[in-house]
Formats: sequence, C-alpha cells, structure tokens
Amino acid sequence: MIELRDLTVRYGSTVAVDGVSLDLPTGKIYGLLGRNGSGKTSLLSALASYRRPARGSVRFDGADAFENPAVMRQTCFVRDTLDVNDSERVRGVLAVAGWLRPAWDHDYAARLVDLFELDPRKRISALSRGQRSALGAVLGLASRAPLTILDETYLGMDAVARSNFYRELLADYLVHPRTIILSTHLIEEVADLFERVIILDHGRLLLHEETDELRGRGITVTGPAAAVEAFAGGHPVLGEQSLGGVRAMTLDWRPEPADIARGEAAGLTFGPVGIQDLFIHLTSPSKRLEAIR
Amino acid sequence: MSMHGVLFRIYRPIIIPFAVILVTVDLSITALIVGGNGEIGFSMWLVLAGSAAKYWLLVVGIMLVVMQLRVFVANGRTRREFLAGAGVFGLIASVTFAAIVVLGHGLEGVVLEAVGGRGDGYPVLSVGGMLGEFGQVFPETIAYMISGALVAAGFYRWRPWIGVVVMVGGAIPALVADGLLGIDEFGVMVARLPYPAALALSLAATALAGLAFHRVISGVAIRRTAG
Repeated sequence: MIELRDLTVRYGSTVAVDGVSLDLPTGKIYGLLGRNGSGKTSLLSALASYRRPARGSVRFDGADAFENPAVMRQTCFVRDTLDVNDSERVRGVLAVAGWLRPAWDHDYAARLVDLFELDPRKRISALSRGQRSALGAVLGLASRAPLTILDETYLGMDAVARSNFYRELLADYLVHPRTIILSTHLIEEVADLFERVIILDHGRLLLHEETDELRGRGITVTGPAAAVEAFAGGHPVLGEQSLGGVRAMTLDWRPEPADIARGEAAGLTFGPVGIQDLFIHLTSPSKRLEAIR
Repeated sequence: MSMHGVLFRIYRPIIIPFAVILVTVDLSITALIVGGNGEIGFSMWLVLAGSAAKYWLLVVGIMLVVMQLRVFVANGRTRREFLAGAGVFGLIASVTFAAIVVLGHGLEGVVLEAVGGRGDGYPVLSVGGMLGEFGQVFPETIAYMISGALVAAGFYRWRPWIGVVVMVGGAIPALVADGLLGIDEFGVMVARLPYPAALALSLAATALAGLAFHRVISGVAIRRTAG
C-alpha cells in the first residue's frame, strides 16, 4: 500500500499540492488526471522522492519513502522532459539504466527500441520530441519497477507510437503486474487502461475512484427538453446542451433500472459518460462546487 | 554494479581521449622546445598535467551535480548513495590524477636525460621527492573537485544570486590549496608556510566544503536541468 498523508508541496509561496491524502493499493494501473497546473507533476515528484514534501508524508508499506534506498530501488519516475543528458547516446542511457536498475530487462529494452524505431547510436539532442517520449517509455517499461510512474510519456508521439506504447504497457503489466501511475491529458485514449482514476484540481484531491464506478457515476439523458428536465429532477447537472426542442443533459447520478425504464417510456435515450467528459465537467470552474459531493 | 564503478564507466570515454590529448600536447611542446634550445630548464609536464588535473577535476565536480545526480536518482538511487559513490569516485580519481602528475614528472626527467635535453634548472625528482610532490598535488586535486561540486550545488539548489554567494565559499578549498600547496614549473612550493601547516589548512578547508556540499545535496529537489 502506498499512503499519502496530508501531502503538501510548495514552491516558495505557491502551494502546488495542498494536503492530499490518498491510499493507493499496489498492483493497479492508476490514471492521474488534472488540468494544467493542477499539481500532478508535483504530487508525482513527491511520490518518487524527487522532492521532499513541505508537509505530510509518503509511505510505502509503512516505510517513509524519502531517501529510503529500498523504496527508491522500486520506483521509476519518467518525467516528460526525461532525466537524461542531451550529450548521451540512446545506448548509453540504456546502459546506465541496466547498471543501476535491479530488475532491468535488457532484451525487453532492445525489443522496445526496435518497436519504437529508436536508433541506439543517436544522441539524445538529436531525438525528436516523440522519440524522446518513446525512450521514456522504454526506460519506464524495461525497468520493471514495482512502482512505475509515467508523467505524460506520450508527448510528441504519433498515433502509431502511442498505440504501441499502450499495447506494450498493458501486455507487460499483465505478465509483470506492478503499480503503474499514468499522468495524461489524452484521457479518452488511455482511459481503458485505468483501473482507478485520481483527479487533482488546484492542488487538491477532487476524486479517487474505481474507473468502472466513475463510468457508472454519470449518465447522459437525451430527449424532449421538458421530459429531460422532469427526469433530471434535483440531481446534480454536470452539463447540458440544447438543439431546438431536444436537450442532452449529463447527470452526476446513477439511475436505477426502474428510472431508466420510466425515462425510456417518456421517449428519453440514455448513454454512458466518458471519463474525459466527466473530467471536463468536474474540473470546470462553474461546475466544481456541485461536483464535489 | 557499485556507484563509483558506474561513474568510472560513464567517465571512461572522456578520460581516455583527455589523457591522449594531454600527452600529445606535452610531448609536442617539449619536443619543440628541446629541438629549438637543445634543452628544457623546467617541467612542461608539471605545467600542463598539473593544471589539467586540477581543472579537469573541477569540471568533474561540476558535472557530477549538474549531469549525474538526477540520472542516478532517476535510476532508483538515493542522494546519499550518490554522494557516497561520488565520494569514492572523486577520491580514486584525485589520487590517480595526482599520481599520474608525479609519475609523469619522474618519467619526463628520465626521458629528457636520456635524450640529453634536461637543462640546469630542471626539477629532477628523486623517489623521496615523488612522495613529497604527491603530497602537494593530491590535496590540490581533491580541493578543486570539491570546489567544483559545491559551486555547482549552490546554483543547482538555489536561485542564481544565492548560487553566487555559495560560489564564493565554494572557491575557498581551491584557493587555499593553490595558495598554500601550489608548486611552480620548477617543482617549488610558492607559499612559504611549513608543509604540515599548509596541508592541514588545505585539508580543513576541503573537508568543510565537503560537509557543506553534503548538506546542500542530501535533500535537494531533483530539477529538470538542460543538457
């Protein structure tokens, strides 16, 4: 279990993460979502001991994480900018990871390098944005670290590379289960991988739920405006759109089968709400208050 | 693999070409002088290798902070483990470079005598003299390395203006070692302080800077730095 207690990260007078408490059972894939500046990278930096929290603690199986060799060995944090030197060659970066990472898989790394079509002789400075991200994916996956944190490890990747990355991540996770935290803005593209979703907003924890729970939390109701309004009743409205006399309303409510049947009888249709739609609704300034229930 | 072992593997591709360039330049200049004058009255090796050892280790101290720290932490090592590994690496590198300076000086004297190019003022090195020269060069090399590391750590951890303040303190080990233990091209100590006192002061300045470096780095946030 990874436990965050009252975690606060500050940069001078700016509070990036504000008193976040979380329990993260291990062996799951987490999606960490949040708008720009919501504190995702700062939270991950504290989680990976890149930064000492201003207040609060990060504990792994009861042990304090900061500067703990046993915990650090088990953690791999791949930042979007990559913690490598531009003058190094790709093969040099992979060699250093092999020397230092206890569970590094050389063969798997070589296979991923081929998959992402990286040239091991190229210097990091000569890699494109997408190739740098691909190298980050190689470092993150081949390290086989029990806690693997990938912070926007898709930037600049084309659709094929991203698809390969997601497929490899899932395949390797199934063979070598571990805790993976993915921070991303491409929510819908990756949402199927998430077992749990964490949403940060303005440095605070907005939501931490099982993905299935989250998907079932909202529903989109479409139909004649009056019928939709009547169906919605007093339930929290996450968003609504109107076209002529037809209205589509996204509700933060899980209706019972009887409610669905009643709605269908009134000419309403129902659809699921995507994680991205929910995220947009939950983190929109006008919706934030009603989203925090 | 040990931390210092990894550091040596990282620096090996830099050390070997550096050594080749140094030896080539030294041989070329010495050959030119001996060819022109018929002899040389000072140690070119002490001038070139003596300076190169200090300044190269100064740069290594900077690079350890700016380039290697985040790579090691990103690969699952703690800052304290990195500091311990960098300490062993720095000690071995300083001893080796100091030994190369001294042994090279001895070898240079033998070769110059063999070719008849050793002038009157040339600082001939006895076996006992080698030990003494090592005792002067080694504290300098390690002082320069610690200075480089502390100066870089100040800029890495804090804002530039605080980094400048730390830089002043960071320069002290190198300045003290140079001022008190520095030797000229004739192998003579520039300062007139007795060697034991000069050595004690130099080592004390280096040790204090080493402690300061440890404190600055042991809890530092791992920054996204360029290149």
